[in-house]
Formats: sequence, structure tokens, C-alpha cells
Amino acid sequence: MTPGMTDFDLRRVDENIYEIPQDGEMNAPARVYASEDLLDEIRQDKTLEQVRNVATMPGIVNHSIVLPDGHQGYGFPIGGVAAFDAEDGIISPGGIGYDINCGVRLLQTSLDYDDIRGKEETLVNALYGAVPCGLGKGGYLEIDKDDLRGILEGGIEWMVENGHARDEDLRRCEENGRLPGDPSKVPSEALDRGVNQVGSLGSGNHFLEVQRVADVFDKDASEAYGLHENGVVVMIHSGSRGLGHQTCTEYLRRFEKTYPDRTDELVDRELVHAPIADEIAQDYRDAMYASANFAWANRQAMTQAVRHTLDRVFGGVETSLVYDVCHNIAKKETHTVDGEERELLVHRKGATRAFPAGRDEVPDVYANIGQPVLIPGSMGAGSYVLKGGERSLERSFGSTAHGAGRLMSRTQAKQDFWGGDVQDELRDEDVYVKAESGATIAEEAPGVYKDIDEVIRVSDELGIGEKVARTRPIANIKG
Amino acid sequence: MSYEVLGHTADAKLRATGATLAEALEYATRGFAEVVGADGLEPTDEVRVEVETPGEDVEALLFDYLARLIYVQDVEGVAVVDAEVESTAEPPRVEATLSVAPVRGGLLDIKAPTYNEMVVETDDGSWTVEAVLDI
Repeated sequence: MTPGMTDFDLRRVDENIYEIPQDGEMNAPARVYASEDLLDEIRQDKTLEQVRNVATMPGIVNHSIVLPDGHQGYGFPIGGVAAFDAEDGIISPGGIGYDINCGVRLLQTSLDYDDIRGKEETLVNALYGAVPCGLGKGGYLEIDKDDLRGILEGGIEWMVENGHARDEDLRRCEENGRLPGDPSKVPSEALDRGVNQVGSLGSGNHFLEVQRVADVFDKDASEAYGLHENGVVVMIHSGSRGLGHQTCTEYLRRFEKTYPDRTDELVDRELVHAPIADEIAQDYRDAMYASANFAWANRQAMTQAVRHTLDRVFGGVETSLVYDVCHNIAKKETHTVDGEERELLVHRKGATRAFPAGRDEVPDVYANIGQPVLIPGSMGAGSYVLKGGERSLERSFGSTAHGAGRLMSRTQAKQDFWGGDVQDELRDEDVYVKAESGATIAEEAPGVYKDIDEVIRVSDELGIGEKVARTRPIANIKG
Repeated sequence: MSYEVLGHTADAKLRATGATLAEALEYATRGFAEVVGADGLEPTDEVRVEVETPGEDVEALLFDYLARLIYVQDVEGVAVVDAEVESTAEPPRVEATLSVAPVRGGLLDIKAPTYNEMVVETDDGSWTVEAVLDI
């Protein structure tokens, strides 16, 4: 076996469904949703060990899950889902991640691809100038700490009230862009980090990308989502920035100090957790929800930057929100377990909610279709729009994948790829990429990601997230 | 003694060694700077930080020290380039003078430290620290 590779006796349950049977310290089986090809890649790192570790957590309902884009994370695998009773269960900061409400939003514009051909370079430079990227570049929106508390309390509602969002933006966000957070539970050092970051992209795999709709697979759903072939859309992938990171960091440490014996017994320290009935757990939940509100406001502020930039470059452009999804979050949701409805706290870490038609949480405009599910791919392969799958509720607590999933470390990527070459090769395919550092481009080269087509095929076949449309990149900015 | 940046599927992993815990943390700081892209920048200022984790282990100290570097970068608007460190494992304590440079374009914004694959160990007169940073 290669270093880091894990070998488990996986039982095949059905096509694209495998299971690590409950054994030893496990409180439930661990379920893997993957094809044989994806499973071969998943076996190359510690993903299976991590999804098994999650199954050792107390009170886990049904099974620990890893989705088709799963790869090694810390504590939970990326692409991990786990549910616990909302009253008697636990909450785990490591099951949500440091980037609370990291997520994706998609904007549709009144532009067609032909409208922007020949102006891509101007466009990518204008967007790069408008949206702060990387370390220490500030935010698009200048606010003070009173405003920040308003954002933590109100999320997109605050943005609407203060002229930074439209009513329809609010209705097209998961949870309407607001969870019941409590700003007073957010650590003061998190406020310090967040106050100048509203409307900033960050680094790593975060990006802002102008795309064109290349393929439509489901005409009715595409029409409902406002997507048509060669229509220009904009995808934004970012999260709660330093505010969310600091909130997770501090509560993880508070959990450790509050429950030292529980921490000592953990198979992985990042799986630290607390009973949701305990005061510290509720404080964390309320701070996490407030951080989620900050993330929505952050993506909304960048939306305003995009609106102004498109208008400045092309004039008279109408830009509206298709949808905004979280993929690092824990939320209270109702699910059917063993034939009974239960209130569960569903943890999704690198996993997207994918509710089908019929769920109250789906916005009215998409009520007959199901919620849009936004899955970004690499700069070369393009991205997908899915709709919540009919079988997602029974199979994955209403969840599907969140991306292509990395294959290669950033260190290896920088050895295998040269940023300038990647940029030139993408340019030959009419994709314009802008980042300050060549290393950033090399680290996110198309070759470091899994085959997103296979991830989507498996999601679609499983019926957890069904194909609607595929987009191709035109211009991409990275931090 | 030295540091290296190791492969990790999604994030960045550091390994640093030193004759003392303090020296290992100094090398870890240089590794941190390399991940950020700040290695080679000319320091123009210093920031003093103190971290202690009474009653806890040395891993908690390393976690909190790395978290402090990230906090300083975000709030002070600087990039950490190097450090002079004084440290004890018992009680777990770090006092460090960070050499910092003004932020320029193209630097990586690290999200957080993690406990994933974290190692702090001493053997035969040397210290080794390993940590994965969430990026």
C-alpha cells in the first residue's frame, strides 16, 4: 500500500454504495457513496479511516456518510455527513469545519457568451480589482463593529435593510440567508478578524468565476433556474473568512477545556463534541449560526461587486441570484428515521444540502423542481448545477457532493505544475485566470482534482443530486 | 535543525525540528511563513506574543501558537516572516517576538491550525513538531 492509504473490508451494498460494517468502537456503520473508480481514489488517503472515526461518535443516527467527492480532511472527511438527535445528541465544531458556511452562490446575468468575447481580459482585470483576494486585502464593504453585529444577527436581512441586497436575493439563499445566531456568543477576536473582511474572497480553493452555460440536461429545471445555453453566469465560492475560522478555533479549544476526559478518549482530537443540551454547546451553535450569517453577507457583498463591475464593463447588465448553498454547516432539520419523523442536527462538512421538491425549505420559485445544488469543478473541467435528488432524503439526509475533490497535495501540485504554463494552457481553451501568485494557480491546476464528471454521474445515478446543467469557465479570479 | 512543508491532500503540513522546543517552534514559524508565501520578505517590524496552556498538553500549546500567528496576520495586516522564541513544555508556555513584513499581493490567507496529524515529541535531545494548517 502507498503511504497514507487505508485498507478496509468494504461491503458492497448496491451499485455505488459501500459500507464499513459496525464494529468495535463504532456506534453505526460507515457508508461510502462512490463508484469503483472513485473508491480507488478514496482509498489513497485517510478518508475511509475518518468516515469510520465519525461512526464512533455517540448517538450518530443511521450511519456516518462520505459522498462521491470525499477526500481526507481533519476529524470528519471532506464530503462527510453525520446526523445526531437535535435535543439529546451532540454538536461537533470539527464536523462543520473552520470555515463555517463555506458555500457557493450562482448569479445569472442578462449577458450571452457572445457579448463578452473579446473583452475577457478587461473583465478578469476589473473583477480582480473589485474583489479583494488573498491575505490582508480588506473587504468590498466598509463597516464598523456595530454593523458587524447587525450582520451576525441578520445575515442577508441586514444586507437588504442597508441597501446591499435585494429582496429576491434573500429568498434565494439557503435558510433565506439567516440562521438564529447570537452575536454576543461570537468571540471578540473573531470580530477583530471579520470587521474588515466583508466582501473578500480569501485563498485556497476559493474563487470567483464568470462562466457560460455549456450543456443543459434538464430543460424544465434549467428554465426554472433561469439558465439557458451560452447564458453567462457567475459562481462565487467563499465562506466566513477569519471571523468563522476564529469562532471554530476558539470553541474547539473551549470544548477541550470543558470536557478533558471526553477529549482524551477521542480517536481523533478534531472530533471533540459536546451534548447539545449543554450551555457551551448552545453557545457554539449560536456563534456558528451568527458566523454563517456573516458568510452569507460576505458572498452577498461580492455579488454587489460583481453587479457593479459587469455594469461598468458592459453597461445595463441585469444580474440576479439563482441560489446560495452552504457546504460547511450543522442545522436542525426534520428527517424520517425508521419510519418516524425526527428532529436532527445534520452536520455537513464539504457536503451540500440537496432537498427535492416537496420540502418546505425549498424556495417557492423552485418548489416544483427542488433546490438548486451548486457544485464547482476545476478551472478546466467546469462546474455543475444539479437539483435536489428524489432519493437524497432516504440515502444521505438530503445531501450530495460539494465539489470535484482534490487528488493531489498543494506541495505536489507545485512540483508537477508551473502556474504560468497552467495559465497559458487554460488561455488556449479561452479561459482567463487571474491571481497575484503563480503558485496559487499551480495549486489549483485542473489536474489536481478528481474527475468531476464521475462525481456528478454517481450523484445522479444515486438520485441524491440530479443533473440540470453544466457550465464552463470564461474568467476566474483567485486569492 | 530545520523545517519542511509536507504533502497533504487538501491542506498544508509542517514538520520542524530543533535542539529545544523553542528552536523547533522558530523553525515551525519559518515553515508557516513559507506556506503563506512570506519567506524571503524583508521584516520591517516586530510583534510580541505570549501563549500558555496551563494544565494542558504541549499539542494544545502548538495549536494556540499557530492560531496566534494567524490572528496577528489578519488583525495587524502583516505577514509573519520569522520568530525568536522562548518556550517551556512544563508548564506549556511560549513567548515569541515575531518579525513581520507589510502584506503584499499573492500571500495565502491560512484559515486555522488543526490537531490533525499533530505531533510534538522529544527524543534524544531534539524536538519535533508537526501540524496541518487548514487552507
